[in-house]
Amino acid sequence: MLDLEVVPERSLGNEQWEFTLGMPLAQAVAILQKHCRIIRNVQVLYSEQSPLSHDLILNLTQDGITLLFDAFNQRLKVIEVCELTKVKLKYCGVHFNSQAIAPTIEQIDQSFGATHPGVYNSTEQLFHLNFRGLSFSFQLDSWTEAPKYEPNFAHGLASLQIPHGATVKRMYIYSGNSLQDTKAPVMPLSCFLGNVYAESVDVLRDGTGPSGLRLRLLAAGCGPGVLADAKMRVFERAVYFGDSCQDVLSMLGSPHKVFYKSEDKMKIHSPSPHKQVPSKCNDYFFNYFTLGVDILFDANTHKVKKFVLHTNYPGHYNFNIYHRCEFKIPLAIKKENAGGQTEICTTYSKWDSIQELLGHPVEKPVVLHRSSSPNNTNPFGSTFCFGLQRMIFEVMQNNHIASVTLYGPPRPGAHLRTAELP
Amino acid sequence: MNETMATDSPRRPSRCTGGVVVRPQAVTEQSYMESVVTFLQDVVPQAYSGSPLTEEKEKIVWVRFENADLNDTSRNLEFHELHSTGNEPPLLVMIGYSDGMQVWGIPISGEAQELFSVRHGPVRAARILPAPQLGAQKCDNFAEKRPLLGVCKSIGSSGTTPPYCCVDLYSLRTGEMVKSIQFKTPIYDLHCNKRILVVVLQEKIAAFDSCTFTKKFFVTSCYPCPGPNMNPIALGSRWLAYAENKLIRCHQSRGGACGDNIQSYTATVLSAAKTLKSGLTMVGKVVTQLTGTLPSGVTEDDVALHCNSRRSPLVPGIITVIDTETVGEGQVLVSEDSDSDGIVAHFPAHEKPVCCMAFNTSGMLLVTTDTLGHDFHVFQILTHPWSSSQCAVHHLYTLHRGETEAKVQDICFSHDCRWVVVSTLRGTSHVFPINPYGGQPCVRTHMSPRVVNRMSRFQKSAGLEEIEQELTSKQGGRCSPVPGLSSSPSGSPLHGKLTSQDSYNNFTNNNPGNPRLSPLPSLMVVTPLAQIKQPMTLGTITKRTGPYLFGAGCFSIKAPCKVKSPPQISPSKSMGGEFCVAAVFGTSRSWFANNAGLKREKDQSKQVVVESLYIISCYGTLVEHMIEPRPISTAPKISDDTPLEIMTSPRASWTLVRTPQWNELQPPFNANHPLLLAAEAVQYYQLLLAGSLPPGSPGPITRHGSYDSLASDHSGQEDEEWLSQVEIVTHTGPHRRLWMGPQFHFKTIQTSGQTTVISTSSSVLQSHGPSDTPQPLLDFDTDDLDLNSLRIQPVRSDPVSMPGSSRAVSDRRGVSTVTDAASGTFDRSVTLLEVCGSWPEGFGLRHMSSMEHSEEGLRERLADAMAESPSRDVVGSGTELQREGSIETLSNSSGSTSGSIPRNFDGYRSPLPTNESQPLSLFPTGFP
Repeated sequence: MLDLEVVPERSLGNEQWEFTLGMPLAQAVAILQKHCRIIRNVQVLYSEQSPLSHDLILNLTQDGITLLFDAFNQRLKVIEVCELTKVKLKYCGVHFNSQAIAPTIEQIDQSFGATHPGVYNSTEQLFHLNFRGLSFSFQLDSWTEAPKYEPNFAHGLASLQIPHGATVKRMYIYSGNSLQDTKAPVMPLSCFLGNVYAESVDVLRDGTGPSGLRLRLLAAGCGPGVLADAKMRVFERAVYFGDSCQDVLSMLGSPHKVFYKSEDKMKIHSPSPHKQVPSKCNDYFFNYFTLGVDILFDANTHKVKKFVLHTNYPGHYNFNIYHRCEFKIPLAIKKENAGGQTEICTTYSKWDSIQELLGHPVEKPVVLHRSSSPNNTNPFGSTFCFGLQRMIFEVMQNNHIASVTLYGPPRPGAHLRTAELP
Repeated sequence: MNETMATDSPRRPSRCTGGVVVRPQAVTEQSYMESVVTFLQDVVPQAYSGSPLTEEKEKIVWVRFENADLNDTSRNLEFHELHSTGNEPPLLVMIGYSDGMQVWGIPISGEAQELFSVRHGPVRAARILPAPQLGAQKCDNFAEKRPLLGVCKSIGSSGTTPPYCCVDLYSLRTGEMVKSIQFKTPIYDLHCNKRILVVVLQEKIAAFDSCTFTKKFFVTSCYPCPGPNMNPIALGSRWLAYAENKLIRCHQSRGGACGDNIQSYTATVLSAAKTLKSGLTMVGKVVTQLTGTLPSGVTEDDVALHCNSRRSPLVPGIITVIDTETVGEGQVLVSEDSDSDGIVAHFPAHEKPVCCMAFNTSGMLLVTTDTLGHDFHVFQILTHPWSSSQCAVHHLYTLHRGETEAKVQDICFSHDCRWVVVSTLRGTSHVFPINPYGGQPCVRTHMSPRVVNRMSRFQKSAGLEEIEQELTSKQGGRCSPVPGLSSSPSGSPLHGKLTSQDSYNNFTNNNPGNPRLSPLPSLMVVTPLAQIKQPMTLGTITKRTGPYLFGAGCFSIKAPCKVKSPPQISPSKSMGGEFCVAAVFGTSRSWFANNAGLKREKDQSKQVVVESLYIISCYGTLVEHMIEPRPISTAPKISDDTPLEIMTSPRASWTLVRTPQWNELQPPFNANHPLLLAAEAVQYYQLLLAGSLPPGSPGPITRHGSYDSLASDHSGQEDEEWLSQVEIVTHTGPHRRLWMGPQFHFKTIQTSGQTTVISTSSSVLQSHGPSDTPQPLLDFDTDDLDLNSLRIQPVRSDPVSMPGSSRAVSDRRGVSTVTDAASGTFDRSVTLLEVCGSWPEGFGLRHMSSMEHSEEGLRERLADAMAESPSRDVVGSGTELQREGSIETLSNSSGSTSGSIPRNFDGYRSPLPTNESQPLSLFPTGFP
């Protein structure tokens, strides 16, 4: 059974790890995976049709803990302990919930001190006792005289009326004063872990299409010696098509991984290796997982060829690989009356609305199955790729954009060559 | 064939430039296939016997391969999209003579062409300056004069300055001198890229803007080196690395060199690895990696020594990498007070002074050598966008040359960064295999023509990465629970408090993703697979080693370094004793030399794994060496991890050395001189990029057309073009994706409030599901997901499962892998269903039926496993036909437009066999 320290308005955790409000989803998942022998049966709950309408929920079913992540920024918004019998809890190092100690109203009072009177919610039949960044719910359904606990009773001092021995049904940790209005806080310094995150990514464009990215980066120092004076830094950096590796490394730092594109996969089955047509191309990706961005470099010139931006919607094959990239893409709209008008496409735009903006349907898509990696199939179904203004939008079946690939202008030499041919 | 070549004079005047043309000479008469079998040639190469011996040659002082506009594949329009057709950039060779210098271009055809030749006194350094990068504020002051040649001569332009103290910039177009930069002290070397011109002086570096040649920044804190390179630097596309004379702790990057002074290479590398005395931040980390083998006393010594070295004014072996774009103007000072703007990395690389260094082609790796020349270090620089102290420097390889002292004069990388060639002043070129990401070079990494990813399919599917990470993090974690082990390093005031070490370990524990914080990769020691010597150095050896050597030709000795190498001839000082050589990788040009009459395509069908290695010696002979890696012959069984050995064989040679009879070849040149054409092309390209080209202005060469026509072409083609640009796999996916379980189960919240099981199994949990969800969670398999057939099967000994769970998990997932030996390894899904525990009554029937189905499926699958087919459809026989089509589609690769149209996108998902990474099928629909 997990034995966890409660820090109101901040976190729930132990010496090895903690779930901190504002923590990105991938990090919470990484913690859970790290402790997969202890924490099992985690449910990931999301809305398939409208992933932005519901919080993204990690439900630790065996430990009675639910983590609610903001559907937009995918950072931890509320930590809920829904079954207190499955977990030990302490506050300031002292247990207030364990097998021996029942989390009664008296125990809460003793551990956390006084607070405002509780609030009774008659529809839920729950009595809420609120501290800053921390709420307890007491279930009253075992009492038949529920109306007695109307908030107005006895000058609003309803808390006095909570019967002795009432135990906590649920506990919430959140940011701010009110559970209803809470928002996921900005990412705490402890979550940076030396990584660089992007607050926003603007696609820069010229006359013909995208030319590069302007990223607003967040970074915080970490490591021995740096901890004490760690502070978050915000700075803007830009990368363009044709930049060299060193340009990109200077601007964005080193990537998390480098991925070499493999050659045509089917050729390996040819009986003779000499059958392979020579291909010198071995382009490689820089994977910036925390930025949600991939950068493809040309094998011969080591210059930037493509950018790929990922939205990390649940229900996509690559879910939880990349951090969500909050991009803004200006799209050129060609309408009769308006000249060079642009509209902004964001991470949260839906493809049908973009098509409406464009005023014309985009030609038929390419269908991606992503079905056949080893030992799995893709249960999420296919995605569709649409090409538009030197960008390729990968669209999921719920019309949300899964990724955007930006590619540079075609090399000038190519056309001329083909044009020269008799 | 060789007869014809011998009678044919290899040298004739060029019609185009007026310079000399030299044709390649076949070095061996053996056929390609024969040479694979025979290990060493016993033929006297034509190059040496054939050339007239009586001819007097000029004395060569230095040789170098140059990168200029002429062979700039990224900016020279000539090379765009032409790689497939064999239009490779030419090699550009510069030769410095005791009087003057010479420039050669060797195009893919193999006919070396003299491009420039002067006799105006000794030249210390020369560079053909690339056309500068243009920008909003940057315009080229010398646009009409380019290409420019930067020269450091003994007699400067003014004539009054001391020798070698002046850089003169000559226009190769007009022949005039356009700029002269004077210095007070002699110049050692010149470097340039499209942004800056770097002049290397004694303990100083001065950088000049490439457009205006005004001073940009300068460095005065270089550590001197005895030579041959008195002040070694490396200039990448953006970064400048130099040897700093001190270590400034607040800017120091994590990592840096470890493993110097390795005594025994047979012992494990780690046991001997020792962190560098001159300073390091992560002592604790390194030590914990080595705990058990490293006596703690060593670390204390290190610390003590370190304190001393800190007091002493000059610390050898420190490298600083600066960003030439952000470093600003004026003096670059790395000090406690300065902020870290423009400093990319700052780390100890060697204990001895650094002697030579070079970036690889992408600029992520830096190879450094020290004055001893025993071991060369390969560092991977993992930058942080704003601070050098957050940057990590991973010491990936120690390239072990040998135990004798040697001075390094040249380092070169193959284009894919899998081979490094380090040439010493003895004239020997050492060929090392490396990987850009570290790790053991082996059959898997070096026998394929393309760079493979770090993780093989096997490693990935076995989850080896995770295991590795777990192991290293556990080792690191040992630091905290056992204070005795960590106290010595962490307790020292230099290395922070124990708590910070602790938290550092926590970082690495919970954060495997950050490459800068991940545990240092284990250091590999690599010995050269070949040592290619210059024939002249061997003149005296020949007798002693007798049968293994041949004549005076270039040859290679496969060098198992542990074995006694052939007797080293100490170069006699009187002879000079030092042999300037330079090496570069390039596409083979020997083909024409050896197969004059045949068509090239035939040869190209054979894929070359390694580019040819070109080495030019101080005798002016350029030799192409073929490099063929193969599994080590002593290996009993060849697997992916089998170590390599290589065959090298000289293929062709060009005698480029000038004789006093040759005429000079000086500008002004014809308009069709290759250097001029190249400069025009690149300048034009830069103007296009900068957008400053007036619309409709003609390009430098009419066949390039104008910008306008390009733009219009482009809009017309866009519609079809995007298909080929679809990127499907962009990363190495994890062994198991989150939604594959078993720890995580994906459920969707329907708008109605229902929850659908998407992945896995434990539907029974539903009834005990979280009571907080507003509506009760309902479980139903969506038909379109076809879950039962997707479900993969039954490992009872699921390592993650916990015995205590009282709620029956009735239906576990697991993977059963069947390897089809004939076609490579492909995981196959086998569906079994295990029913245990208690089913809620409502579910019983459905699951029973699915079990039945799956048993049937299993039989079917097993049957299929026997068949030749490399893969099969889990979904069912209905899709079998479509698979044929999809294979076709895939073989078209990267989303070309042809291919089948699946009848039903949603229902169709077939696992296709693929190699390596995440595969997928791509189904373009309805395109013309």
